[in-house]
Amino acid sequence: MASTDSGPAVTRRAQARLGIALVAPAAILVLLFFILPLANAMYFAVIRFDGVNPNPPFVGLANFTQMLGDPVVWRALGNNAIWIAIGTAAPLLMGLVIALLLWNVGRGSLWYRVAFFIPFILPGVAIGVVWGWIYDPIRGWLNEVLRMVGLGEATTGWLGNPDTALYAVIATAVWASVGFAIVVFLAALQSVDADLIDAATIDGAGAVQRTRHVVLPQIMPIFLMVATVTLIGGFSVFDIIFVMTGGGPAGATEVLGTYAYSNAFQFNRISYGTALALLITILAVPFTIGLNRLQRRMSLYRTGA
Amino acid sequence: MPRPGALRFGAALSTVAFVAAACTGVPSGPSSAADPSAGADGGGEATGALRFLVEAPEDPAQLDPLREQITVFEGENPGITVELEAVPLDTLRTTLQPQLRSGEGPDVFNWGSGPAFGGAFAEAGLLYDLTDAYEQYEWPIYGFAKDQVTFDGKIMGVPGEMETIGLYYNVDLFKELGIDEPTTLEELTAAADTVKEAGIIPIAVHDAEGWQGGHLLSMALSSRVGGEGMEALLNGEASWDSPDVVAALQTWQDFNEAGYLPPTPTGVDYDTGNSLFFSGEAAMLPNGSWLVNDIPGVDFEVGYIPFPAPDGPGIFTAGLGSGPYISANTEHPEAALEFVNYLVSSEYGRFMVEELTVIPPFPVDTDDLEISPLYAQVLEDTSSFAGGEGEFGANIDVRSTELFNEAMWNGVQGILTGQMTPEEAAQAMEAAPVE
Amino acid sequence: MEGPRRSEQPRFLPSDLGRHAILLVLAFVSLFPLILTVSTAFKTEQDVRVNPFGLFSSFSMENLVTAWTVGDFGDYVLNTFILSVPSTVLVVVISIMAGYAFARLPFPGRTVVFYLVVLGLLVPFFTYMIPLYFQLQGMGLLNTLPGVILVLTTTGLAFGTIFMRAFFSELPPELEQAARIDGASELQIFTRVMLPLVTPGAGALAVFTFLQNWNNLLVPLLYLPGGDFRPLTMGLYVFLGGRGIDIGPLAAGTLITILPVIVLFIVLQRQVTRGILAGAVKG
Repeated sequence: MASTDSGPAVTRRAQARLGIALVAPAAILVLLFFILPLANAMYFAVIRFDGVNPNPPFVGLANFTQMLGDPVVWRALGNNAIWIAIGTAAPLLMGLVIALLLWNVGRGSLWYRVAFFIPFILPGVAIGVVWGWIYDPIRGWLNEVLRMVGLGEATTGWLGNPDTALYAVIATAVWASVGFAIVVFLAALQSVDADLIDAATIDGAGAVQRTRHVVLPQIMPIFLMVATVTLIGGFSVFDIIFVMTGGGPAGATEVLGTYAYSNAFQFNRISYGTALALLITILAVPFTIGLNRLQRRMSLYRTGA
Repeated sequence: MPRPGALRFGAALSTVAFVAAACTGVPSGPSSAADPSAGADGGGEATGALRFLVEAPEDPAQLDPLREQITVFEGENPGITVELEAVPLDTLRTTLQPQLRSGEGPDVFNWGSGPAFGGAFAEAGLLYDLTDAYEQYEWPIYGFAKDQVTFDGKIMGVPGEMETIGLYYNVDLFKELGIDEPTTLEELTAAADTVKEAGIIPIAVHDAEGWQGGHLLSMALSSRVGGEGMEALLNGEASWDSPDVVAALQTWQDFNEAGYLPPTPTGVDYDTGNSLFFSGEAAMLPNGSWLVNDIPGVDFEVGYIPFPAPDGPGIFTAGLGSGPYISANTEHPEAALEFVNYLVSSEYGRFMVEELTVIPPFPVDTDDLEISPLYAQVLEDTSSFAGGEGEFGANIDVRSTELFNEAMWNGVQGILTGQMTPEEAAQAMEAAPVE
Repeated sequence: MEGPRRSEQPRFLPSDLGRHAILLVLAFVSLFPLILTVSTAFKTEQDVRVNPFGLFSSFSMENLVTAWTVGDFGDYVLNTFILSVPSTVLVVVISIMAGYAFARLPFPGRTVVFYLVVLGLLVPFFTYMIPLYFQLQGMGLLNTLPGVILVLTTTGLAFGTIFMRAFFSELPPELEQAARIDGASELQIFTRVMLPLVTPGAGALAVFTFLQNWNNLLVPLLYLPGGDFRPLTMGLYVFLGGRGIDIGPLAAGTLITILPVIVLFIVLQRQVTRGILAGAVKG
């Protein structure tokens, strides 16, 4: 897989030894405190557990077939798809652009960075409350601003309006996560070879071209990593939706994550809830593998796992 | 986030432990391998401290008076210490059950009454049977409240505080606009029209969190079908997609379409809805007796009436909050019983009324307490019908399962946003599994 | 050949003024909700209830006082540090190690192990949190500080690993070759050559991990049923009691809660800035 493998077998053995040693702590912890309990949890997905019966019957994949017939699941999937599409692209692109803008500001950029990062720091509860005010139908800031600029007809219930609720929550989520992307990209930009950029400028390349052909390739692993993390996050997203709308109104913002949680912890349908959570994982796997392969292919040096 | 009224929590994860234990070979009794870490005392096996876990109260400032009461109890019962911990609702939902089952949980804890809460825990064997204690201590709990914590013929806990749901209204504003207190549905509608013409929001309905839908339906329906009608519905003798239910749901749809409600009520959350009423921007507010605590800060006179029926003044609906249960795994049953005994004493009852501003599920002499007139009236109304005089309706969500509640809450939100018709909502409720 | 050189001021976009204008607008949008929070935190309680939307319509410290006293913040601050710092350090160290191995050290089974570690990102925590509860009990780790720290660490590893791996992937293999030719062992290559080059990434990871642990309520609450080491968020959530939210103290409490993270961020980011201007890094 790694095309820049060093030659001598000695080096390869030394690398393998060090590699195993370095990976061991992570592997052990993950195995003990994640894989093991997860395996236990998966047991629930293949039984029909009503919360009381100590000998629940084994039902195989019945929980999963139930999902196929559950209209809420399909609606949730649709919402997840929308979330993934917008919620991945927006912070990625905006994060990159702002990071590039900040890159040249040098020392003064610290305060900008703080400003952009603060949304990411705020606890979910606070975000939910404050954005609830911004979106309030009657006196909320967003509607007030719309009225002030003459767009009074665009005012709506936002979080209470089933047509706009999901997008409103996405907007908040993007607002909260752009700071993350900015910080990561700025860190990545540290290693970019500025000579190449200067050379490209001299050659007459425009800003967009410089970005696409000089900068982006150099930070590609990190760019794709952020894309991966954000995209996978879109499958399991739960907290912010739960805080802002609880999946409502009447299920308009229900996603797999909130539905799984409600089933497991509210409706006492632990088996179904666990199966839904596993569905999230199953759906995210191909994307993870795909993006990982892409990252391997597109990174300049091809050294990754 | 959905924070249902009547202080609810989600349904239990009950016997997860059995199964998980089967998988991992973990013993699920109190004599487990875990030991409390160094630092602040935890567990309290050796010292005899009771762990008392409550849900974070409406007003966090109530925690200190609560601690004082606990100190009083400790003074009267040397040898028993009680540690209080308050945890928010939603977190309690996920953490309480495994902790109880593992033996690491609290000894005494506040939890909801009714089948979805106390009932679920009772079925899972997590509760200490209090039937004998009731006889021994002669706790004077109201009959209907006691029923809500009786499962399988055994009394498994103490009911929570009583709560009613009704309509608050701005008395001064009504006088100004020349409106009398509405005593029928028609009068309410007329009043709303008058208010609307004056440029004020007639009814500050808030349904962003979703659980308010249960209250909206409960108050309209209870007044329409009466106490017995509600019992029939809750017992399954009458069906939820009957005309009365649809009519009650229809009322709210009609109100919404007539513009009596704030724009997009599903976008208005609990606190914002209340603030509309407090600031005078709305004339009426459907809410519960727990709000009485917040009223004194307001600068106009406030009245509290039951939601009117088509043909008369309607009845208040009653529900129960969270009351103390004892963990089946407790290591200090005697101390726990003494503590619970204290929690239903008249001394504590007066504390509940005065400091916590809630209505105890047992009679309390309130003559010399300093409370607002509105509160006194609410207390009087409630204790009279709880004691058996007069009719009262039911807060549906306390008496039903979470699956049903979800259908109900979604139904009301659906109606208010035009995603569902009242018939569809009623059908969804009827179709919801009852277990 | 020289490695990547950090530039002084790469001239990337022409107009300075234009750039700052855009940045200022975006920064304002970014900060506006914080401004709302600050305004609310400093209002009187009555004002918050009646007029929640008014900006700076009154001024009072009572919310801050309430948050600190009723929320028991004084007690909880130390606990939160005790919970957050060790787990953050562990996550960063272990992630750096594993990230480097996954990025640059081929060994048998590397891909599989990588996917297993990263699997944590694809699985919502609540899926396995209850089985983990009983497992910890069986291991004697329930209700213990080490137990909670281990759980906090493990939940941060999936992200930490994939994060550091990406930073290590960026580095050119020529650096490795050169060091090898110079006689450095693999370990020395890792610690002396590669590791210093990912400090910006490590710093960012430290902030992210610290933040996640700092804001985490569920893990300490669930796995410390005895009530020890309750974190700051516990105090914050007290204001979510009942049906409504005690917004004034919640806002004030939020401000208190985010302060340490902001401080950490500024400190670590300052290092990064210093790095930019410190000049070239040799190959």
